[in-house]
Amino acid sequence: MRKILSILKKDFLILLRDWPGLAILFIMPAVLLVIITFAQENAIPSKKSGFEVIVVNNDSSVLGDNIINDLENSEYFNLVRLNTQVEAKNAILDGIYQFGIIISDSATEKLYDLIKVLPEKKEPAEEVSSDNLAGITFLYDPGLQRVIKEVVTRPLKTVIQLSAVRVLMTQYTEEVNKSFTKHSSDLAASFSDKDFFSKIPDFPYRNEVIKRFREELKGIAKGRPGIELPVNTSFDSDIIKINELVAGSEESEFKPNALQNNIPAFTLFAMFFIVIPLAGSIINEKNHGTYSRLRTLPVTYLEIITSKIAVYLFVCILQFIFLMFVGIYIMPRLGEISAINLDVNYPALFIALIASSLAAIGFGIIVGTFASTHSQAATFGSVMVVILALIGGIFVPANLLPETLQKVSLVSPLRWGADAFIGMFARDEGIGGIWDKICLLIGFFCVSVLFSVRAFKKN
Amino acid sequence: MDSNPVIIAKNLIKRYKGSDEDALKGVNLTVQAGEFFGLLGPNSAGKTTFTSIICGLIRPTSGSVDIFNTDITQSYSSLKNSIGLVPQEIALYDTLTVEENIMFFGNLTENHGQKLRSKKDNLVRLFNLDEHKSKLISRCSGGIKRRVNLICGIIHEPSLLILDEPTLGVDTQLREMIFEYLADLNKKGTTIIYTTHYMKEAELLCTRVNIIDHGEIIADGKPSDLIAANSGCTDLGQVFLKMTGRDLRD
Repeated sequence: MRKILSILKKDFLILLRDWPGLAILFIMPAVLLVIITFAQENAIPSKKSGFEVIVVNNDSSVLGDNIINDLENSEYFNLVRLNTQVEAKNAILDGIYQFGIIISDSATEKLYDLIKVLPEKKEPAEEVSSDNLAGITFLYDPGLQRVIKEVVTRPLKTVIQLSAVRVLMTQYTEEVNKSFTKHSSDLAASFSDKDFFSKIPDFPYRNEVIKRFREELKGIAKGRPGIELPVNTSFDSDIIKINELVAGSEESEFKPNALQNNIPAFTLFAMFFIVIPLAGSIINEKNHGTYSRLRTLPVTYLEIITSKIAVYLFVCILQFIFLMFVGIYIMPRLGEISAINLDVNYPALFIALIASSLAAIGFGIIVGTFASTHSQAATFGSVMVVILALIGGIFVPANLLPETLQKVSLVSPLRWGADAFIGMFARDEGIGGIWDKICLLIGFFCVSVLFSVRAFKKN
Repeated sequence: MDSNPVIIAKNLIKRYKGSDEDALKGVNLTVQAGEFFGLLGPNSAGKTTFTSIICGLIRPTSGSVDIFNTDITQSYSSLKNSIGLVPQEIALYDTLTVEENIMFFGNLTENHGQKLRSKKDNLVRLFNLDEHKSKLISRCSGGIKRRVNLICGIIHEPSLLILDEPTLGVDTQLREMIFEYLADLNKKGTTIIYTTHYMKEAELLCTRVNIIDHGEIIADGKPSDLIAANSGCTDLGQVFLKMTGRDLRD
């Protein structure tokens, strides 16, 4: 028992004096908890957070106003009013918003036109061309994850369809009322015709009955008691036409499927996990005396580190190729998912790959330089990668994070890498569109190596 | 013995950051070419600090060290091919084999290609490592690791060889083998600086020893001269105890 207590005391003292270890044990999980919770809360539109949606109302009439009112009342969406589709497209391409709704200029008019058609046709759905339907256009961020798109579009479509149905039914009711009132007036007028009543045979209280009947008809003709159509009246056909457009493209096809987003995202995630072997190898050299031996030999630290950079750069490229292989050949065989679309700018892709790899290597080098033990580097490194991935939009689009976290995410190298890759895979961007991210990634690598060299020289 | 100094240390002072005491307190020391020089001292006396300075691993706080007439505080890189270090700890890569470790460290010096392979083969044979050369270091015994550790420090045939407790934890057979090899190397002209806690080793091998304690050189001379100069002492161990005392050190 005495021995066990001694060992316990020793381990406790070691832990108490290991501040980085304590930070990993307590602060890191707390940070993770906060970020994951916020990310999950914001991933799906909720009444608390509200998903920001741009609205351009070109209709300026009943349907447009109703759609906006209903979206606002739903509390699931925070509407941002813009004036033109071009403004909306630019705001989405700038990454400020991810969704837009464009209500066409004659939407109410086209909806009302349906009323003229519907009562007179037996099968209106087949008779009305989709071009004559009220048009609503959904505008997407090309880099939006498909799952998020689906999660947002479904409630949007539901709210818009219900708005349209209500507007249509209100108008339909009014039209039917007008029609019925007119027919009732004609009928009442005909009953007022003396010849008509003279032909009615005599019977007890005849005149009293005719009088009551005429008054009743007159009352109906004045609009009383009114006509109420059933609330759950449904149409077999669409009453509005919803177009889906990718911002910055004429295509309605939503290009990024899950693979289009996830392969670059998870390649980045995997790349940054080289922190464990890379930092581990640096720490092993420091702690096992091999680094001291190397310093007595005619070799510089820069040469030692350059060799590591080259090796891990190769590893990162292999990771990318492997995940691409999975995306092209394995995933489509495992389920109903189309292979990743490789129609991208290859020079830009190569540069982004190298820059992202270097940033990941820089991260591994800096962790290896400042961590004292292998386990410290492994724990700190892996937890940091998860945090950087979470705030960097690897699992949940960064735009869905709370505003404060969105600002924090701007310092995540994974965010820079993800933005560069999604820019290429989803928005067909070339080097010109992603150069700022490339500079940030390479800058991060250079700063990491410089810090590392300085720290080694200092030690 | 040539009067051709390989190392000249003048008023060498080293104070570590955060310490309020100098690890070296103005050490003056000269090592001549071809000497088998023993640096003896109890724990924390300053041996490792001194060898670390002459290996270029740490910088002195003040003072100067010339090695092969080059001030190492100004330029060290040009000396690296001429200096070999055999550290006390096993400074090898666990996941490389015996042969791969030797070749790796050898390749970092001026040696390479067939010349290096030939040297490696000779040393592997000399230290009876033929049957172990393909083993990972992590799977080797302590004795094998100690031999490989030594080979990696001498593979480039340095003119100045610094050995820090090279026989720590090895059996008698291997110790004898190492002695024979080092003596032979010294005869061929290699200057050797040898730090050890084993006074018998120093007495047997070294042509001259310095005893260092509390960061100061307190004795300098041939082992036989030091024994003779200290009345009542019959071996270097007794001289060492007489000069450094029997108090336990940190």
